[in-house]
Amino acid sequence: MVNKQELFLHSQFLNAAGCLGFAPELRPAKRGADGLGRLGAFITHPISLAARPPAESRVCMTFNGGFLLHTGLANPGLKAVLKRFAPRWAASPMPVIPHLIAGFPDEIERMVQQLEGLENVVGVEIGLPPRIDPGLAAALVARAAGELSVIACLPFESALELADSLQHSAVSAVSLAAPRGTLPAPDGRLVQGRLYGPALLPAALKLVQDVSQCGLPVIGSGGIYTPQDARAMQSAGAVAVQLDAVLWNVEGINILARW
Amino acid sequence: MHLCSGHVTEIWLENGRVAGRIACPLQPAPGQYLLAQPQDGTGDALPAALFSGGASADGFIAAPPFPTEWRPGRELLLRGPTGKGFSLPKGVRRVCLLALDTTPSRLLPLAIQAFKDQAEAALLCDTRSIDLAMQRLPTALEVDSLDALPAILSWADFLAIDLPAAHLPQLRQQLGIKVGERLPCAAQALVFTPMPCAGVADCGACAVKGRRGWRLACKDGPVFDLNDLEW
Repeated sequence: MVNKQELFLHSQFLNAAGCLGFAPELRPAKRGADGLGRLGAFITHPISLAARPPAESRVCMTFNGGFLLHTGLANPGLKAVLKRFAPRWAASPMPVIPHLIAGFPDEIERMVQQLEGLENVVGVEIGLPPRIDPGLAAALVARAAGELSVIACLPFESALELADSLQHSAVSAVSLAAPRGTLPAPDGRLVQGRLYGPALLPAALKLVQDVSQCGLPVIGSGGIYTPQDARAMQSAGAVAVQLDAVLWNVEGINILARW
Repeated sequence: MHLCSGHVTEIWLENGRVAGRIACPLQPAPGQYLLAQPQDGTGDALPAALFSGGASADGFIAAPPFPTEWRPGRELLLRGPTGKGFSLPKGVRRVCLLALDTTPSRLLPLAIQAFKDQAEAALLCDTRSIDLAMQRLPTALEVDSLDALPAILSWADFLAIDLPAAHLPQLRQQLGIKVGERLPCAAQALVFTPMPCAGVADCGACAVKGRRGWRLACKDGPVFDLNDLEW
């Protein structure tokens, strides 16, 4: 029997993993500028069991309508993250959903065990790498199932296939990772990374439409830069939306106060 | 950190790279940056990080790189100043400004500060990188090519470097300092690298190897004490 936990969100807006750090900034907002308070839940920066250093070849390159980013998802590992940020998670005005990255089901199980029972942690989002075998994806989700809701963050390129295979799993909802792409560097090398920016919206809308047909609740993301974009995502079938690089604009999270 | 409106008043080329003048109430200190994006929401998906190349009557001169599509009159939204900038130690008398593989523009405000503190200053750079920028060089600033580095290093009591992050592994060789040897004076380095999240997310794109682990240029820097970095 599948142990599926319901996922309750305070609002339809979430941040995408990696876009607001490990914990919400708890400084009081200026009047009328509390964008953070509009988040339905806070998704953390990706966290692995052991520390991960930054990628040797870190890249950030712009193209028309977006940018390519490769960082290596550096993080100090779950133990260090908990030591430093669990108190801020507990004090957060919105629920917290740690985003976990792991290559093996055992790792996921060990991480989830450390997160269960933490104050204000209501779920986990599991980042599934590109080209993951559907069997391994199902195993990662199964080992994460327990007291917390599980969101499977699907690689853009194989989201449809994976969503189909996870229909009868413990997944409460699926979200979509930023797609990968390739650009020529100034020295002619081809560099790879995740793609962000408004140019991604049409492809993301199409994917949300398709994935939502699988019957799992879909959290839409990709290219959302305006309230109109977010509404279009919901029209395409998304139950909520994740905001990514728009949160790196000059106003930061406070842009949400006007949405 | 503050949010304000401003606009581009002038743009020009410095050795083939765009620089601009911004009218706004904020002014980044030497080595700090402001985030800026067009008010109308058009333009790049990421805000630009603007470093000061000097003060102006109504704002500041934005050193290259400057968004090439921004024209005079463009209304901007700006936030900052952000990051850790240069800080001249007390009592410094002879400042060496070293621009490696980059424009000397971001170091010029530090020269002005040094002169205000009654110090002398010398700028070493690829002399091809100085054309129009020369017009706003203080007359008291001695300018020389990188060949003069050994002599100037033995003269200076403070070294301020501006270099791309990718250049750090070659820095020791360039300065002629062997592994285990110490620099003859205090030194700070502006490590220039893309900072897409500007400290909001710890995204790691601007990570720089420090002696005690990784540091982020966007919030721990972009100016670091050279002794705190692996180089």
